Amino acid sequence: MSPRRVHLLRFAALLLFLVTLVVSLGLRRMAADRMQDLERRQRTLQALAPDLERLARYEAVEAALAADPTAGRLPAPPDGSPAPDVEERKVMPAVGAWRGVQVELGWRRLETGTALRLASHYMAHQPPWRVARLYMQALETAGTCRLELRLESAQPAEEP
Amino acid sequence: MSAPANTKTYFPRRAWVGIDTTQTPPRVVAAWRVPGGLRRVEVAPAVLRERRPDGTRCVAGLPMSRVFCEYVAPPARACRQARRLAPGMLDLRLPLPVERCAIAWIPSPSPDAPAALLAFAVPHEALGQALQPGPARTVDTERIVPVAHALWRRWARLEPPDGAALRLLLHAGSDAWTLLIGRGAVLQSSLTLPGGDLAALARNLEVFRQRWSDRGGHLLLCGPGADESLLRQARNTPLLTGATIELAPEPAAYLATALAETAADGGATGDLREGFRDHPAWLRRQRRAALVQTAILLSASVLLVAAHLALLHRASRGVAAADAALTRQAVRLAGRTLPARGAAAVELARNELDTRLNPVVEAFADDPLVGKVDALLRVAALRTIRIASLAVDDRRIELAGSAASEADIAVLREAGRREHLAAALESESTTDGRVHFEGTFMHEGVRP
Repeated sequence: MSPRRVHLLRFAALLLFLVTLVVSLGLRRMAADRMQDLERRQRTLQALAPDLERLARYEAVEAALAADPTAGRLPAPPDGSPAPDVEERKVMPAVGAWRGVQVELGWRRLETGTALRLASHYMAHQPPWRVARLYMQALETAGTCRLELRLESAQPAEEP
Repeated sequence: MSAPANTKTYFPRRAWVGIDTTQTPPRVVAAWRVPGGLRRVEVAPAVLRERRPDGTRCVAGLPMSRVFCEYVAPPARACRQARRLAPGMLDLRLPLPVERCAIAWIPSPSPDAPAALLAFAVPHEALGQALQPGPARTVDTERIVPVAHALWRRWARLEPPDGAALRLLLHAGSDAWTLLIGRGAVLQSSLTLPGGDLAALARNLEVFRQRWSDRGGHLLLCGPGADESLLRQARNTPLLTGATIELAPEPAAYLATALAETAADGGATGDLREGFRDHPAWLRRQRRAALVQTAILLSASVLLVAAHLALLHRASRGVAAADAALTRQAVRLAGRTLPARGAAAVELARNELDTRLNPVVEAFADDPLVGKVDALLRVAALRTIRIASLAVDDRRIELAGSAASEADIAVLREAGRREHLAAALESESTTDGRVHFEGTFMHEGVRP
């Protein structure tokens, strides 16, 4: 190869390198834009995490409710506990595929220890039951209290 | 004079070959670097023609009868500046313009004059004649070096001078003698004398003795004409009395060895042909260097583009994967395929989720406040806090009672905070010495 050709080849390689450099800068900028897009999407994905957790919790509860054959029936009270002075059951209007069931339980005078045991017992049954409201009021007589519990459950709407 | 008998046929490709063309047949010595120094062998001219027909890595000596040798000390601090000034100073000393000469600039080895230069200048015509093919030229050597430069450097390397003593080197050639005169390691002058004229040698020694006030002097004899007989004659010459006169080792091969070793040792080459850039070996080397540079540039281009394409591809794949994940999650939230993509799909999916989740069922999924009552009541029992009333629903815990002190209420507040509950408790002292309190606990971040 003649020296002139070699020099021309080197010059061409240099030109190609310069062009490559410019192209590379463009590619780099494009890659940086893509990386920013990626970061934005990852942030959005992270922002979805609470919604996904909410959905997962919902699905777990729904599955538990659907799977429980005793849904709608109040859990049995603890052994030796007094019967409530008030027991009122309400079936709520259907919301979608589910309807709520509320049971109000009330004891006018109860030993505080027994009241706490009762509250603890019903709080442990969820789902299908949950304590939607608890009210305890200490009475003037020491060691006794008034207890009101509102228990809620849900059952498929087609079942009354 | 015949060629030496103990010549070798092997020398490595990296060896530089020095050719003393002042003798017939020429003396040829190959030298190359080995760990710890230089190695050399004498080579027969026929072997040289066979091994290096194009003169690659070959050095020939240019007799000093054709070369102007000038010691130039420009008023400069650095060697670079001296190189700019020196041609002008040399021009004043030469009988012809410097533009018509090939010049080899040798930096001074003297630490006292770091900017001084030794210039070897040869007219282009004389150099052209020396490069013409002829019976004396074994091969077209890649370099052509003034013999004074090679001889002086070799002597300085073999016998480093002590101080600035007067040193003379006589190369006794077949036709003429070359006398080099210097102080210490610095070559100052070069003279061509008629062959066998010891009287002229003695006269010149006397001139330089007087110029530098040095009554001694060290004279080295080399070249094909240097032998024991010449040594005896020199020692018997009255005007050379007081000078140390020695015969160089292997005097006939001294120049060829000097040329080879100077080239193999690297550093200042003294090459007068350097500026012409016309030797095939030089052209070949240049071509190879250009091809290597071309290959490097092409490889760098390919690597650069490949690296950036890979970067872009990776980022694009990441975006595609994130898009797919977003779509998957949005579909999972919405429970169906959505007609939108990206952020719009996410917004749509959230709305769909709010619509499709049954509030009756979702109430069970919320973190129940009743579960946190136990922790509050335990603290209340420990601090002898009396609870008058406790009401819990999905939004708040309402508490009323009395405590022994504000500190107990603070402990109750702290217990709520540990359960991630925000407390809003109001307290006031009562007549019985206790502190009455009343207030609510709610999930943190939930507005009352």
